[in-house]
Order: sequence, then structure tokens, then C-alpha cells
Amino acid sequence: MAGADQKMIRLTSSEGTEFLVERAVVEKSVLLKNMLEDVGESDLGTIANLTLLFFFIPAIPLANVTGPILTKVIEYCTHHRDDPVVTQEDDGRKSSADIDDWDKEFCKVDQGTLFELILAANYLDIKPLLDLTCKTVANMIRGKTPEEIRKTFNIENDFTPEEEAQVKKENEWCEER
Amino acid sequence: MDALTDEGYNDVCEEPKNEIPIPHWVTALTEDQRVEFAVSLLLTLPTSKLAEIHHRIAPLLHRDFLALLPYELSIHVLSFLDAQTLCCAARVSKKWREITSDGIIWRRLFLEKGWSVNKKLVDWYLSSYTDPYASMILPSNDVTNNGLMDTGDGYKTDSVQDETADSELSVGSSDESSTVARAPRRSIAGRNSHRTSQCSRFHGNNSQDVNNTQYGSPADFAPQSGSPRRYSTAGPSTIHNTSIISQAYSSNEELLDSSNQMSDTQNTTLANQFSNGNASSSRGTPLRHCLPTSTRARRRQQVPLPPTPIPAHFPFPPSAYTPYNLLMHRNQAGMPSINWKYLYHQRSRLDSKWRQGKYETRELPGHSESIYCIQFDEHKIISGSRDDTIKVWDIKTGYCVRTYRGHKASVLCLQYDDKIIVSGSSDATIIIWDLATGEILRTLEGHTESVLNLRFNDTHIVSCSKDRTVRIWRRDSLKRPRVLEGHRAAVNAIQFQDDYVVSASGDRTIKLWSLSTGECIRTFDGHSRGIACIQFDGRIIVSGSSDRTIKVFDVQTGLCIRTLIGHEDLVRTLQFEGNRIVSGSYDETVKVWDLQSGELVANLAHVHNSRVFKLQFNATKIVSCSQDQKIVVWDFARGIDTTFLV
Repeated sequence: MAGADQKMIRLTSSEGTEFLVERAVVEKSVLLKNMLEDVGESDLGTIANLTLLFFFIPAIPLANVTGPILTKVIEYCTHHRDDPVVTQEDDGRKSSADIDDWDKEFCKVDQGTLFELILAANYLDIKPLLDLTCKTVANMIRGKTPEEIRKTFNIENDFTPEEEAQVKKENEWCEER
Repeated sequence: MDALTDEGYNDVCEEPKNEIPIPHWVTALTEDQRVEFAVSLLLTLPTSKLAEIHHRIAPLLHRDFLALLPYELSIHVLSFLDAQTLCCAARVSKKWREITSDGIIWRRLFLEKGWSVNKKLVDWYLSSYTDPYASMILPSNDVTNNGLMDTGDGYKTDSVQDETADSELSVGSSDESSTVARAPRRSIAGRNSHRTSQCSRFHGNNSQDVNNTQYGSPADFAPQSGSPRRYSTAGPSTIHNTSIISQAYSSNEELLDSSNQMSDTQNTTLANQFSNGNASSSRGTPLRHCLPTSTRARRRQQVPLPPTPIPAHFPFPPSAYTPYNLLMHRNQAGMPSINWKYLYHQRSRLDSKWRQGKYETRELPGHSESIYCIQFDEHKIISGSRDDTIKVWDIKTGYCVRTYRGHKASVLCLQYDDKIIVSGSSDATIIIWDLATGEILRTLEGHTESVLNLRFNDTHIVSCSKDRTVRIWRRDSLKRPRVLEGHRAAVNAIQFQDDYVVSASGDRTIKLWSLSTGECIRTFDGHSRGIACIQFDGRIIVSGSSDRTIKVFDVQTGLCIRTLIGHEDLVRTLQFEGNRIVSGSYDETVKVWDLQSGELVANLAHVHNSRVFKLQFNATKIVSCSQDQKIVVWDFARGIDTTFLV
């Protein structure tokens, strides 16, 4: 990894922490991939904040992503670096059951981290990670009563009793099936 | 637990007044060291205090994802959920209720179910009024002058009102014209029930339909009211109704006869329906301000009178499309917007009615002999009978509006489109009729025995006969048909699609032919007795047989992939669509099956009291006909808003 050839990219988190990442891993992010392509190999140096140590390695500042989250994102992209690229058209069948074990383990984080991961995946445009994290939230909602959902996400019930009765009535039809 | 000492979170947590500043030496520690320090500190406390701390830091560990994420990401999360979960989630909080009602999610769920909407209507509705203010303001002026006043005495002013509508050139709003339209309609219903007091159970339904239409015959607020729409003013609709009625009186005796046969219970139900219809009619008034309307003036004279009262162009959009129902389909700004959650709800209710076999029946008496074939659409039913006639029925009122004579023997099969009816008969001929006038356009001779079934599209007519042949007629030159020979008994049923013709015969086989070459591509064996009916969708063939079973064949492999057992006699007719098969049998029942599982979903019995000959169904109803001379409409949509669904 540390072999400082042209295939390495430096990413800087919002706190300024630097991550040295292989280009193939970085390119899991459509945002960064496009950025790298737009700029072109030779020009990368001009946008980079060059240091002596990584003289030939371009750096990309990611002001919206914190270090711990970027660590997670890189972990995900490294694990999935060889996955085939999923086309946009592919989400015809949406099911949240098909999460593999590694991904499931990866998503066993606190809600704050999961929340940040969704935002980061969206910002960096990493569709599989976005789907994975959103599915994870969906799975936290599924099969629960409204009260259990409130408890899970610490949500206050802001309905008046009348409203609550009304909204219950509106949505009961699904249960009668 | 480390959250207690995590500076980043301090402002989030509601600190008590007696806050103790964290010493500098603690903040100077590394994160790991602070964790260790905090744990050591916590362990000095009694568990009651730990519980208190737990309670205080718990909120920090949760996120209300849907409320905090950007909207489109919340939608993305919800797109992984099913209808039931979404309904549950809607009850969590106001914010959740709003997000879970999003149209994109419900539209996807709806379409995933394989359900469809009436796209023509949806498009029409969404483009129906671009300026919400014009439609909100202008009608109310007119309405207060005319419309609202009318509602009060709509019953007595009918004829006067009728004339007013005729002479008054600018009928400005839908509300108004619909009210105007209602008066004469009401009067007709009244007159009608007067003369033929309890003519048939259809009058009950008729009143409901009147009720429906009065909310605004939808054409009234059509966007381009300049374009002539026959039903857009009171005049033509009156004419329409009157003509239907005059037609109906021709078969009046029959109607009366049948009413005498009606049992008391049926009469009671009818009475109820009738009164319901009346009761709900008064409901229309307060809604009228919200009606979508076209504000352009319509000139009664500009609307050309229809050449015939039926059926070339029935009103569009259909009268079931009422403003009351449209109220469901507005966004917050009052603009047209499809409420997909609502549509999903209505559609799923409809599905459960089918599953539970909850339907209501109506009967159309009128033929004097067995009825062999029917086809219907949202406006009409066309039937062919052993009495040698073809009859056209208004599906809403149940009136027979046309009787076409030409065949010299039983009409065994028919199909119609916008312009023509093609029918086959025991007299071995095929007749092509003008749908609207009943004029005989062509008579095709060639079959040597009864024409048992036929289908047509834009280019071909394919027929089959008791003479064991299938004939393919080109629509552009009807002279010499291609004759397909190979079956060893009468060919009872025919279907074709693209280049494939599928025929089913009394010789127990189904044959797949090429339309263009006439070659027999494949023969399907499987039934142990003759086959009476088939349907073919390009992928599978479903067939009904005298062996009392229904079989599903894979066209590619030729294998029988499913056998449905349940009928107790010959399966004479069937149709499948999506996952649903509906079949009718000599055992006098109509059965609904699940194609995937092969299970019997509903058994519709005790209405026909003789062999069922033919049926057709759509999302809301089955129409079947029988040897008992009745056409029965099995309606599953009672109490369901089918706006946009059919």
C-alpha cells in the first residue's frame, strides 16, 4: 500500500487527517472517480496540497467527511474493491434481505455513525454503500409497532390523541390483509 | 459511556445547573485514556446513579433518521419497505406520516404489484387544469347563481332546467352544467321508475349512476371544452338517456317479466340501493367549489349531436370519474397530483374482495335463448345468443340499447373493437358489423359447419369451426382464407398473437401454428378429453377441458406446468390476467384461481342456474353469460373508489 506509485491517492478528512488510498479503492466513489478523470493524471498535482513525503501523490480534501467516517468508508470500499459496477437500472427489485454477513457486521455501528455513513455515501456517490446503509435503517423499522419504532429512534410522539386515532384509522387497512 | 466526557457532545446533552468544568488534565488525555477514566469514574457510582446517567445519555445514541436525513435519502430508506411497514411507520410522528405518504414510494409499490392504472385518465387529469385559481374562482360565481340554487329543487325543475340549458349559451362551469345535467337525468330516472315501476334491479343501480354523474359528468370539466364532447352539456346527455330508454322500452315486457321473477329479498336490496343512491346524491353540494372545472363557455349548439346514441364514443372520461373522488388526488397547493397511497389502498382492497369472494351481482335479462358469447368494456356489453341476435347493453344501466339481426342461426362467438363487431354463427358464416349502426359490412363464407370461435386484430381474422379447420382471413382481402387442417375433431377455441395461432380441439389436443406460413409448430397433449377453451399470452397457454380440469402449458417446452382441479363438469370458458384465472363451467359455477399456486380463490355459485358459456373479467368485475339466458355482472368494487383504476 505504501508503495508510493501513481496509483495512490491521498484523501484528507474534515479534521485534516490524511489517508493514503489506492486509486482503485477511491474510484468506488463516483464523485472522486469523476474528479480524477476530469482532472487527468498529470494535472492532479496542481490541485494537491503537496508535501515532501508524498511528493508525487495528489491529495483530495473532503470537507464533509470526518476521519472516523472516512475510515469506515475506506474499509468498505477496500472490501468491495473488486465488485462489479452496479448500473443505475439495476434496482428494479428492492429487497433488504440480501445483505451478506460482512456487510451486516460492517453496519453494526451506533446510529450516529450510521447516519454519518449515509450522508458520506451519498456525498461521495457510492451507491452500494448508500443502499446498504439505507437498507440497514429500513430493517430497523420493519416489523415494529409505531411505539417500538419511536423507542428505537428516540422519537417523540407529537400527535394529539385525536390525531393519533385519526392516523391509526387512516393506516389500519394494511393490517387487515 | 464515553459520551459523558466527550466534548463534542456536551452542548447536545442537557446539562444540569450544577455543571462541573472538566479539568484540563482530563481533556489533555487521549480518547482511549478518557474512556478508561470515565469507566473508572462510573464504577464508583451506585447502580441507581448509573441508570440515571444511562437515561441522560441514551438520546445521544439515537437518530431520527427520517426527520434528519435529506428528504430524498429518507425516501430512499423507505423504498426498501413494504406497504404494511409504511403504514405502521406513518403512525410514528407527524414528520414520519408526511414522509411515508410520498407518492414515489407508493407508486413503485403499486406498479410492483403488477397493477395498472388507466393511463389515459391519469394523463388527462394531470393536464386537466394548469391554472388552479381560474377553476377555483370562476365557477363559484356562476354556481351561486345557478348551480347551487338548482340543487335545492333539482327534482321539480327538470324540464324547465333542460330548456334553460339548451337555450343558455354559456354554461360556464362544470358544477353548473353537471347540476343542470342532473336535473333531466333525475327526471328520467323518475319517469322511468314511474312507468316501469320496479322494472329490474338495474334501476336501482341506475339511480346510483345518476348520482355519480351528477357530481359532474367528467367531460364537463374537460380541459379542452372547446372540442366537442357529447356529454358535456345537459342536452346531449338527455338525448342519450332518452334514446336509451326508448330503446329499452322495446324490450320492456321482458324487463317486466324478469322483475316479476325477482325474489323479495332481491327487491329489498334494490330498494336499499336505490335509497342509498338518493341519499348520497345530496352530498354533492358542498364539494362543488372544489371541483376542477373548465371555465370556458360552451355553446350547446356547438356540440354536434351524436349520429347514434351508442356506442362509437362513450363519454370520456367515464362518469365514474367524479370530482368527489378527485379530491383525493390533490397536492397541498390544490393541484392535480395522483395520491398513490390512496390508489394503492383502494386497489389492495379490491384485491382482497376478490380473494374473499365478496361481490355483488346484477343481471341483464333480455335474450330469449341461451347466451353463447359476451364481451364488455367500461361502457357496454355485447352479447350473442341462440336467439340469432347480437345485443348491445349499456353496462351502467343494464338497458339493452341495440339488437342486431343478421345471422340465420345461433351467434356462437364474437369480438368487437372501436368500429366493428365480428361474429361467428351456427349458420357457418362470419359477419362483420358496423358497431355503431349494426350495418352488415361483410359476410364471410367458407366454413362448412358452425363457426365455434374467432379472434381478430388489425390485420387478420382467425376463425375455427366444427368442420375441424382453422381459417386465417386477411383483413385487406377477405376472399381466400388460409385453411389450417390437422385437428381430428371440431376446433372449439382459437387465440392468436404475433405470429402464433393456438387452437384447441375436441380431439384433446392444442396445436400451435405459424400465422404466416400455416405450419403446425407444436402439439400439446395432456387433457384426457376434448378441450373447450384456451387463452394464450405468448408465454403460456391455459386451457379448459371436458375432463373438468384447467391446465397451464409452457409454450416453449410444450410441458403442462400446472393442473387446476375443482370444476365438476366441462370447463367451457376461461380468461387469465396477471396471476388470476377465472373459469366458467357446465357445473353452473364461475371460479377464480391463483395462477401461481394453482389454488381455488373463490367459487361463485348459485347465480347461474345453467351452463356457463362465456366470461370476461377486468380489475373490478366478471361478466358471464349462460344457457339460463342471463348475463351476470359480478362486481367486486362495491364501496371501492375505482377512479383511475379501470
